Amino acid sequence: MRRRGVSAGGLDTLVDPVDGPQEPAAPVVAPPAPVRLQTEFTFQLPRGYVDEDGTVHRHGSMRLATARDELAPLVDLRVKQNPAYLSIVLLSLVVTRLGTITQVRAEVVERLFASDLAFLQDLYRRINAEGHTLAEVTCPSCESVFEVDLAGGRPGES
Amino acid sequence: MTYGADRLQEEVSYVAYHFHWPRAEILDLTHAERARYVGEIARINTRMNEGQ
Repeated sequence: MRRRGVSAGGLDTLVDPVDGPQEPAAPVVAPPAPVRLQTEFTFQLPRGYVDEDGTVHRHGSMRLATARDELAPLVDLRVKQNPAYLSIVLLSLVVTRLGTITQVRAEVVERLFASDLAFLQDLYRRINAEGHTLAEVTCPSCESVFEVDLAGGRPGES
Repeated sequence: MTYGADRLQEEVSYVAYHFHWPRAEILDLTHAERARYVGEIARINTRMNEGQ
């Protein structure tokens, strides 16, 4: 037999929350323990989204993506017809705020300037692959190494 | 830009199969959290198989 069952004892140590005991009932099916993790990142768009009234929205925030976020667009008709639309739908799910807009729909994302769209795609990659928005750079004249925040501001509190 | 649907299905199934968490809970884990549990399961399995 290749695969063996995992004992509940082994799992208990994994799913127990760090901050104290939980109710004794069914510890194996308990939801994942809360992990201290920055899940939301603020950003500043290079150009900004211009809405119907001409108002420019530059500051926003993006949350970390989940498996649900990445699987949901695959059944979207627009994505089925045009796979390039995937990142538009995906960004509309994880961008939680853009200026005063709190319901960021795909229609908003697709009206962004190309440079802002590229910026958000890069930010998405960074926070989901690396978990932060910092990039290590080297000064070309003195060659000292330091970090810059590509989101253009302090990381937001979740 | 994304993780890859096949890989995602595989990881979600892996966690579901071993931990029996509800589908919705696993889908809503961030990539980093899910990857961590996948790693922990792999470690548990390795440890148990070695002890066989």
